[in-house]
Amino acid sequence: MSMERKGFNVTFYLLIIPVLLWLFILIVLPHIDLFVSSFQVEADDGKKVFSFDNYLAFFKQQIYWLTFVKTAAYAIGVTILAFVITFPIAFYLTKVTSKKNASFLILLLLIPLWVGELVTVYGWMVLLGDHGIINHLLMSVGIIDKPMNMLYTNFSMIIGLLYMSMLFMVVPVMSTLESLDDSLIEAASDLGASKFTIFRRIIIPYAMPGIVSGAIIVFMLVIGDYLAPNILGGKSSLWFTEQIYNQFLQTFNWNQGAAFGFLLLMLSSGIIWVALKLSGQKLDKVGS
Amino acid sequence: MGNILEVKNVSKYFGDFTAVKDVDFVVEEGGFFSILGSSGCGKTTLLRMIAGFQHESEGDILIRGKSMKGIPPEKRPVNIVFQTLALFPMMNVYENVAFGLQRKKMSKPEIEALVNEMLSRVGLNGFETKNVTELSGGQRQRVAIARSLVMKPEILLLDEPLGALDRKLREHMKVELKLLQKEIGTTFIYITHDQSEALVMSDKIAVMHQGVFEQIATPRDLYRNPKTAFVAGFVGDSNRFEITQSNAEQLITEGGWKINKAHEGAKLLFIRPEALILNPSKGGENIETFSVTIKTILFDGSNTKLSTTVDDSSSGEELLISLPQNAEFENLKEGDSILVGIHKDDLKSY
Amino acid sequence: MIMKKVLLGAIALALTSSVMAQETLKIITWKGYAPKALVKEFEKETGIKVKVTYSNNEEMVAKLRATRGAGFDLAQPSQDRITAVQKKYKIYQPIDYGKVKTDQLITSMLDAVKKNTGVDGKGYGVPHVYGTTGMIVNKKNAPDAKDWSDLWNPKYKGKISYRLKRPLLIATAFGMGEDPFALYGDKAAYQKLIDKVEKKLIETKPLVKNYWTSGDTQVEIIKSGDADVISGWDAKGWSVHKTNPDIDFIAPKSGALGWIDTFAIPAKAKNIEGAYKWINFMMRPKNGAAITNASNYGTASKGAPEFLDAAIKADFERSFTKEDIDNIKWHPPVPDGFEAIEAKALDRIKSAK
Ligand SMILES: Nc1ncnc2c1ncn2[C@@H]1O[C@H](COP(=O)(O)OP(=O)(O)OP(=O)(O)O)[C@@H](O)[C@H]1O
Ligand SMILES: [Mg+2]
Repeated sequence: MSMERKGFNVTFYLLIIPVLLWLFILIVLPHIDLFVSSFQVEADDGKKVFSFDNYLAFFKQQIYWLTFVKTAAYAIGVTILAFVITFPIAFYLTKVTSKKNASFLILLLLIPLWVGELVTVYGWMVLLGDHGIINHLLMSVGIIDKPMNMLYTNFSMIIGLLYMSMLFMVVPVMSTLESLDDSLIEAASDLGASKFTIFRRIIIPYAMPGIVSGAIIVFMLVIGDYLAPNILGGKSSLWFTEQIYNQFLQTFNWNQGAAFGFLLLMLSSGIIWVALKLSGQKLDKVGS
Repeated sequence: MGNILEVKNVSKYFGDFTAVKDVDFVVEEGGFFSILGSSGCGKTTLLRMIAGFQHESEGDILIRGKSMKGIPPEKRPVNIVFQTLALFPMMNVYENVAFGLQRKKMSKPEIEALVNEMLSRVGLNGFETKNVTELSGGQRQRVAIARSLVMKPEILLLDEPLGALDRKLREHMKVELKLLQKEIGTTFIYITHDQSEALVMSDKIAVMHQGVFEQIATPRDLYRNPKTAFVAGFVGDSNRFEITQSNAEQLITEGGWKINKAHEGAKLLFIRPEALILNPSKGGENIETFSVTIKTILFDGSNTKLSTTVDDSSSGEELLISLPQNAEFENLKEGDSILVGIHKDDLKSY
Repeated sequence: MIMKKVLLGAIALALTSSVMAQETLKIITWKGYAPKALVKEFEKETGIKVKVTYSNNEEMVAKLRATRGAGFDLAQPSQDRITAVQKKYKIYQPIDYGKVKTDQLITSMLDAVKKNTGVDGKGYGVPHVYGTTGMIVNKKNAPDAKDWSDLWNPKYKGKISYRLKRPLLIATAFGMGEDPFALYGDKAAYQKLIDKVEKKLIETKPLVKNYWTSGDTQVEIIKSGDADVISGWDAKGWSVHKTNPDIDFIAPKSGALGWIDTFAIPAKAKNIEGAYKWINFMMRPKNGAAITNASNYGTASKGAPEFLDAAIKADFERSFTKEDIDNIKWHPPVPDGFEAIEAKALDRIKSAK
């Protein structure tokens, strides 16, 4: 028995070591330098000394942690919106429309991915501006007589963020819904459930693993985005990524920038962990 | 007892395709009614129309005399056990069974009492908190039936509920289901493509073929007196002969075997293996006799058969004969010629 | 048949090896500073293959800093962004002015750049292109916008835009009647001034439509009519003027901000000779003029005016009087640590309501 165990362990390690090595080289190694530098500050004589100051600065200076809190709040909001908007779409594509229609519509959903975020951001500028297409249309129809202020507001920023991240919610949700047997829905309605109850008790719980993995991706994408808040977001849309960018490129304070980068990673992982706990989901079930 | 369900000239078309054609039948209250037919003949479609998941193209369905037109599935006094069972994987056994009762806005203790009673009835107490994915096939089966039965439906519809089980378990569940139905007295409409299931359990069987009901009868009647050639061929084993000529006295098969039965215009003849009598005592008036040669003995315990050729047939047409397992026929062997008799009523020609 | 294949193979091999052996020149620069036509001509003349990477001041420094001055043979930072960075990170090498054909350059500009990019008595830059940051104005809607202070003039509420970066802090200071460059020697005084500027910009933030973030968004916001008075670059303003004559670049009364982009050679450049060849090639009068004609930026090439389009001259004359030219505030080198002061102020302005 013990022999067997040992044999198993050896092959197990033989298999796992290359994988770990690979992950280490690709993912960990490039960040070690940054990680180390996040614990350094420049002394007056230009020498690097060990310090927690970069991390402490985040908590001490209101502007930093407040920006993070704001960014995270928006990211959570956008994630929820992405779910609310895309869940019916995913349901329609998998359960209502024909396979042929569905694949065409999925191609449409892929467009933002193809053209890239920068182009879609400019596209929204053209649509939402004071003299943009939407205002022009609404005014020529006579619904409004003064342009609505949509561009450079939280509204346009959220639209931009939603647009680039929606697909990442749709796809995992669709893949779970695809395996949902229609007869589950019929069985529920046979047992007297209303449409709403079927959604709440059967469809959503069934799709939960997809929803959770979609939500994690969307949340991470949004909290780590730079373009949409920066270009569409208007004059008060200071995003945490912009502060990281500024630390690296404007102040040349890489140490501070690195610390912010790791704080972003840790805090957003922490938020996901809390969200998983609160919703009673387990990470190992997600995405399977 | 009255009729709980009346299906009146119901047809269902999918585009050009006719899935169910002009089906007309009634089911008695408390009865066990089976619909037997091969795959794709329209059984599920018919059942789904009764449950309300599909709408009949023509005709009407009445439950207790009330037309079900325009009444959605959740409002019909019927429940269905799906071919795939459709247990809710996100819920445990208790939650699955309680789901329908919760929709009825019953109080918690009421629900608990009903669910527990139903679970013990199907032999699943103690399994309440198990996840349905952790159950065996037979247990899942029982959960599905319990989930529907706890709703106290007027009619329980079952769509090949034993289809996914292995043979042993199927045999067992067959008997159990029948007993359960007897005990609770709910009307069952049971779909199957397995004739033995239908014969064992049902009070009435409808044989369905390409969307049409060929015959509705009691199991015994169906077996003894198949009304159409399809039923004769489909229900039970039969020797089948093509009739090429017929006159006022005789039927003549392809191979030239002449049988003394008057049925002008007959095209097919069916003879059940167990209807054949070996070495019949002479003198039976309605007994037709002829000689056959034993080709081989197909031993299968109580189901052992002789494979023989009819001596009168120039092409040597084959005839299977059931062989009782008693000492009398122990020394029959290949090549023996033997006299065989059959009651005239057991010659089924169409 | 086989012969043919062998022959083809041999040719292919020869070609690839010649490509591999070919001398290359890697340049990191701004869009428009290395146009395709000139790259082709240079390659034909010298046989050196040119690889161009587009960037901006901040990224250029970040990239070179990450590699400690390797990966590129030539960079084009602004003159004010060299000394502080060089002192700290040593990412450039001194220019050997003997190898530069200085007679092709405007002498005063060369001298200024040598001085402003000097570290320990050695110069690190050669002037290439210059321009000014001023204002782009829709003259139909805002005929009276004349100075930086109009960027917080309530008259233009909701029609104002600028880029919230360090030049804007400088411009605001000038617009408030201060001289920030005079305080470059006094960090404490500069901090005070920036605090004042910050207060002003936060107070007047409600007047602003949006902060533009790039050359493209700058053009977009004035062209679409979303704003009428914005900070902007001369070349961008003139290019919009071509399609909409109501819009034009103006030199603010308290002084346009002048910048000069330079050639600088990274510390670990591999093809130093090629870099000098490129500098001398680009500063030929005809080539200098070609850049200006295409992009509207001014050139440090002495003989270029002869080859300039008439329209370019007209643009310049329309926006700059003699007085305006004399009043251009050329960016002096930024002292170390000043950017951190500015960055904090910028963050606070951006996050303010
Ligand atoms: N929604 C539909 N659209 C088109 N054709 C259908 C549809 N549903 C069923 N059919 C067709 O109707 C016929 C009968 O189908 P049905 O499901 O009733 O068969 P069944 O008797 O239950 O078969 P099985 O024993 O295999 O379950 C089949 O030929 C099937 O292809
Ligand atoms: Mg079926």
